Amino acid sequence: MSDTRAEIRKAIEREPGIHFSGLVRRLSLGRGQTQHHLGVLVDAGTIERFEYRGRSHLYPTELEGVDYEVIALLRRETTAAIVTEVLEAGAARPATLTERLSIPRSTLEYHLETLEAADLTERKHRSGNAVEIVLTRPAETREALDLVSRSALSAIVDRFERLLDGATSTSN
Amino acid sequence: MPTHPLWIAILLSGVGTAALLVVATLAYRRRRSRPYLFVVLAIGTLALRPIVGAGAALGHVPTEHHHTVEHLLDVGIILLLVGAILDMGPAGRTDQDTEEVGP
Repeated sequence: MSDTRAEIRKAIEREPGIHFSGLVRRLSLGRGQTQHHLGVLVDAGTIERFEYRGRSHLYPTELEGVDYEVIALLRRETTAAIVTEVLEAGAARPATLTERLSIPRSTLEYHLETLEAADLTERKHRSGNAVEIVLTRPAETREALDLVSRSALSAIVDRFERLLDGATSTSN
Repeated sequence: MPTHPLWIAILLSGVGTAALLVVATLAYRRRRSRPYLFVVLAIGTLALRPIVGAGAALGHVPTEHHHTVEHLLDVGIILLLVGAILDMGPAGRTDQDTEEVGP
């Protein structure tokens, strides 16, 4: 197996569910070159491709018992942050979430709709007009979060990259 | 023997720049682009300052020269950061195509 192809495979094993553009960026390869090697790996049955909401997420085939959709969602930073907050609090009000994550209400709504479509969160109506967000499958979600969570150091390096690139060119 | 506050300052700046250098180097290893390299070199130069400072405090660097050396290191840092900025090129260019639909 060529070195580049081995590197691509290793990168996907390290970060299952990484999307195509993220992989290209992570390895600083050309898109065409990456696509070629991915094609070979997919044909060989080593890597599986999962199309989700306009992106191609990549998984090692040997990874079993994971929900590709859940992992793909948790690879998106804001979505993962919302899920983490709700998981830690048990239930969270939308106002608390927008405040803790410094995101506008419309952004929260967008992500909540995605999470609801994937059956990860739901809204519970409390007394009066109060709404709380809860996880529908907390145990499973925690496991998935553990799988995607990166070391504190690589999270800092991610942010350093974003500092130099501007916020537009990283995931989300 | 130099005063304690000086050693505390040298220690803090040494540890701080070393940590920054680790983060910047890891980012450069991921990206391997020239602006990242310039930033790594700038932080590396910054990391030399506490070394020169410690050398001066211990008497290995002549006291009359160590300010000159440190200010020259500053000039190096400025040049490297200017290099990183210029290397970014005109607006709109990033060092990769940004998000689009995968293969």
